[in-house]
Amino acid sequence: MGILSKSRALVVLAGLAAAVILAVVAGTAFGAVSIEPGVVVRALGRALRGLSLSSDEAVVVDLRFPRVLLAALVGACLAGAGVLYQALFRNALADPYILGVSSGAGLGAALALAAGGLGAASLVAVPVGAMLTILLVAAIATRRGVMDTLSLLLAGVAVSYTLAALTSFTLVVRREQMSRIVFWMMGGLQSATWQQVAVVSAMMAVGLAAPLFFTRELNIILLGDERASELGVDVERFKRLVLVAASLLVSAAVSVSGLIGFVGLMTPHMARLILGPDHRLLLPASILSGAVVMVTADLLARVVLAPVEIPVGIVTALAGGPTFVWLLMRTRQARS
Amino acid sequence: VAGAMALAFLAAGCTGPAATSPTVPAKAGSGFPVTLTDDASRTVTIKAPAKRIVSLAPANTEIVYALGAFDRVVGVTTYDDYPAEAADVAKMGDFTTPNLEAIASAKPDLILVTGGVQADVIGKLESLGASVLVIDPRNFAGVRRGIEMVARALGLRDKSDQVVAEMDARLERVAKAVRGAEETTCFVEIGWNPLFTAGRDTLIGDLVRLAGGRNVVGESGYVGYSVEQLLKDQPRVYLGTSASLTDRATIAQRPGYKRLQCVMSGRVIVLEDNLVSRPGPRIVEGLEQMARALHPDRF
Repeated sequence: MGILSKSRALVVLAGLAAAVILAVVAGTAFGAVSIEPGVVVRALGRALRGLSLSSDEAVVVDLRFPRVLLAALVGACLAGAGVLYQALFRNALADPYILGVSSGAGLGAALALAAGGLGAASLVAVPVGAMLTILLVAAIATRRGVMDTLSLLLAGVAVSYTLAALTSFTLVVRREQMSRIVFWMMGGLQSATWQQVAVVSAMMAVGLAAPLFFTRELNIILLGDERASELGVDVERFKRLVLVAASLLVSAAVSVSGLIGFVGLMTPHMARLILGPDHRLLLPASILSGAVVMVTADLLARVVLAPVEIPVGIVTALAGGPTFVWLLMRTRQARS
Repeated sequence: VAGAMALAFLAAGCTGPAATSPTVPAKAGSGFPVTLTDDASRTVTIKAPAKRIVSLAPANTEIVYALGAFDRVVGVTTYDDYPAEAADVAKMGDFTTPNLEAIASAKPDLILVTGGVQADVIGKLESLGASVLVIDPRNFAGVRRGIEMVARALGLRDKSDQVVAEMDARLERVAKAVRGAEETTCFVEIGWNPLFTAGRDTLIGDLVRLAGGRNVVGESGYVGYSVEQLLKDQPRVYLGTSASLTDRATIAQRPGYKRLQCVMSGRVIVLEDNLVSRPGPRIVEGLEQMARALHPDRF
C-alpha cells in the first residue's frame, strides 16, 4: 500500500466530480427526442420557479432529469456497495448481489406484485426483502458473536437459491403477474420519479456516511481479522457495520432500478487498477465513477437505437466487459 | 420401419373418425402421408392422423380444441387455461421449459411447439419419435395457415375449412365496420417498467392494422420504447394488454404520462392478453376487441 498523496487524491476526486457533472449535463441534454439546449436550461429554470411547462420542457423536467439523477445515485450506490463487499470478503469477485440481496429484492417485488401492484408497495417491499435477506444470511454465518466470512458467502449462496425458488414459486401460483416481474427483473430507470430520487438519496447518505468515515479501517481489515484486531479495530463490530451499510446501498439501488449487473462489480476494479487499493481514495473515487458509468450507460441505452430503448444492463455489460479487459491488459503491460 | 409405417397407416384408416362415413375415407386416406412446411421452414412428413398430441403452447391447444379434437390432447403446458378442460390434462412443464420426461411418458405422435424459446428443444423432441410442428405466426393470415396446418396433421381438413371460414366472416365484419373511418393512431403497451411495445411484424401489430388503426411505433418486433418519443407521438388511443396494464387508474401517475392526451381524456383501453397475443382461433375475438377500442362509434 503506497503512501497516498493528499493533493493527488484531491485532484482525482475533483476530476471525477467534474465528470459526474458532465455526464449529468449530457444525460439531460440528449435523449430519444432532440430538444434544444436553450429549452433544456429554460425548462429547469421554469420548473424551479414553479411555472407551467411546455411539452418539451416537461420531457426534461418529468422524464430526463429525475432519471439522470437516479442513474447517478444508483451507480454510486452499486459501486460503493461493491467496494465494501470486496473489502469485507477480501475477495475481488464479490459483487453487490453476492449475499442474495437480488433474490431477496426479487422475492419482495414478486410478493408486492402478487399482492396487487408494483407501485408504492415495491418501494417498501423490495428494500425490506433485500435487508431481511442480508440479516438472515448474517445470522446464519454468525456463531458465538463471530461472523465468519466464508460461512457468510456460502450462506449467501444457499439463501439466494432458496429465495429465487420461492420467487419462481410465487410466479407459478400467480402466473398472470409473470410478465410484469420478468420486466421488473430486466432492470432499468425508465420509471424514475422525483420521489425515488429523494428516497434513494436519503438511503445513500445513511449507507455511505459511516464507510466514508472509516476508510482507514477498511484498509486495515484487508490485512486479516487477527492483524486488524491487533491494530485496534473491533473487527466483529466493524464487519457488521460494513455489511449493513453495503446492504442498505444495494437495497436502495435495487428498489428503484431492478437488477443491473456489472456496475457494482467492475467499477471498483477499474478504480483500483488506476488508483490503487487504498480505500481513502478508492471508496469515494468508486462512488463517483459508478455515477459516471451508470449515467453514461443509461444515456446510451436511451439514444443508440432511439426511439427503441435497450435494457441498461445490456449496455453496462457490453460496454463494461471489453473496457475492463483493456484496462487489465494495459495495467499488466505497465507493470511488466 | 416401412412395415410399422404401413401398420400405422392402416390403423389410422380403420379407426380414424373418417372410417364411419363411406364418402370420407378415400379423401382422408389420400391425405396421408402429408408433407407440411412449418413456421420454422422445416419440412415435416406426417404418416398418419395424429392420435396423441402434446401441445406446448396455449394457442396450439386452442387450435386443436377448435378443430374438435381436444380428446386427442395428452399433454399441455401449465399456462394452458382454455378450454377449461385443459386443467385436467397432464402438464408437460411450462411454456419456456418443457419437461422432456413428462413428454416422453405421454407417448405423443405429434408435438405442437412454438418458435423462440422452444426452438432449442426441437431436436430433443424429435428424438422421442414424434412429429414436431412449429407454429409461430406473425400475423392474422399466419394464424389461419397454422390452423390449416394442424388440421392437415390431424386429418381434419373439412373442420379447419369451417373454423377458418368463421374467422374470415368475423374479420370481414370488422373490416366492413371500420371501412372509410379515419385510421386511429394508437400505441400498444405489452410491458411496463421498462415500457415494451409491439411494432411491425408482430401479431398485435397486424391486428392494429386490421382493426383500422395506425401504430405510432414504426420499429419491427417487440421493443423497449422511449416515453419521450411516446409524448411526441401523442397516439389517440392507448392500448395495453391485461398482462401489463392491470390498473388503468394509476397510469396517469407514471412519469410523463400526464402529458399524454389519450391518458387525460380517458382513452386507455385494456385488451385481454389471451385474446390479442395468442395465435389461435380466438385471435378474431382479440381483433374485435381492438376494433371496438379504436373505433367505438362504429360498433
